[in-house]
Amino acid sequence: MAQAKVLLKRKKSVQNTKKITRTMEMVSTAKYKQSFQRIHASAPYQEKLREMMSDLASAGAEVSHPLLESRPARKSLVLVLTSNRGLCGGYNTNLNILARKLLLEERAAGTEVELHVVGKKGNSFFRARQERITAQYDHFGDQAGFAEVNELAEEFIRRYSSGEIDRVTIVYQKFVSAGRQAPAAETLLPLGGIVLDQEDAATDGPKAAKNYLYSPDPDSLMRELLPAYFKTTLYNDFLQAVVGEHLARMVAMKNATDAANKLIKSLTQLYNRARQSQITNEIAELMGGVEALK
Amino acid sequence: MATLHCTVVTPERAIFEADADKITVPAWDGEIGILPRHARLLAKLGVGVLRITFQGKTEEMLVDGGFVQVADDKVTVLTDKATDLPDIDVKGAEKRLEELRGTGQGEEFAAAKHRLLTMKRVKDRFNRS
Repeated sequence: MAQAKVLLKRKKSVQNTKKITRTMEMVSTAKYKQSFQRIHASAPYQEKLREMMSDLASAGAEVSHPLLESRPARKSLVLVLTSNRGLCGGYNTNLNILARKLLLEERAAGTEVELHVVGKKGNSFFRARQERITAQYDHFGDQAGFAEVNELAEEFIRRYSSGEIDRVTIVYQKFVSAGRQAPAAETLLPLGGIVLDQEDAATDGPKAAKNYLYSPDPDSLMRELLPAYFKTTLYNDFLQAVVGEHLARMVAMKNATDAANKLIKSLTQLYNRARQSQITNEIAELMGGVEALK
Repeated sequence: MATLHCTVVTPERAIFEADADKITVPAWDGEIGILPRHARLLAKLGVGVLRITFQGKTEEMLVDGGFVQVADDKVTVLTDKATDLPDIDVKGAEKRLEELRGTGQGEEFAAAKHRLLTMKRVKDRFNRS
């Protein structure tokens, strides 16, 4: 009976694991939906802001701002968004590898790099590789609020404007669609590229010239809008990263559940076979005993 | 009667949407009242009370900075933070003011002071009513 018993035990243990992974999959699905809703809810703000900026740009507002100035990078800052919790497949590993590559590249180009890490998983990765982590943020969790991101954004704006840092790059999980997310490294500051795209769209649009009352003047308004735009961009990146984390965990847990199912099936077969041969053996022994008594 | 379609949006979500009769926004240099058929307007907001009158009711909230856009009887208020009047965090503003005191950031200190005074005034008036 020994072998069959061992198999039964293993099967039970796999079944228990499956229960856990299955639950985690469902939890992640719910959290994913929730976090996706948050991206969705935050979209109107960003759209409106863009619209205002393109209106302003077409009204001839001068677009010059410390945040737009591109300088040769002597000192750059890399911000990596990882998760606090694991069990989400290659999510953190991929992000960390990309961030590390970026660090090495920038260093090779002679730039001094400051590493800022969000999430415990990034922390342990870089600590294990003896990288100096200048700042570590674990308080964002999986529900990054705007107020918290805002603090971070203001700090970046202040340091960038004062010339302390010349570039800010973010490494995060970019959310393209529910089926596609990929780690991405994007330059947050200088703002350059992002804003210019919007202006092109504005000049092509039918609403190119609108007569607005401006208070204060367009130039000052633009100076106020740009930091706000930067803040929402950063906030949005955080939201995308969170969606990516939940999706990655969902997929990882689904794979684990599927693997468990397969394992259970083969273990059941093995167990049945073992049990059957045991019964056959027992009968044969019995028959042998009966024969001997005759 | 013509109405204004009003939306209040924060980076996290749209918190208010209604067809309003009249809207008062706290612009950076004083309050602006907006009625239907208002000219197109793009203005920066300061700290103060946003008042939206619709269906005979008035919705009030404290906004702290942001922007307002008026175009074709659509009013969009973009703000980092909109607080219901009972939830105004005077203590937080006080703390912030103390932090700035003596840091040599004169402009920020003045702004924080103004913010605190406005919050206090609004809260007091709300408590009395």
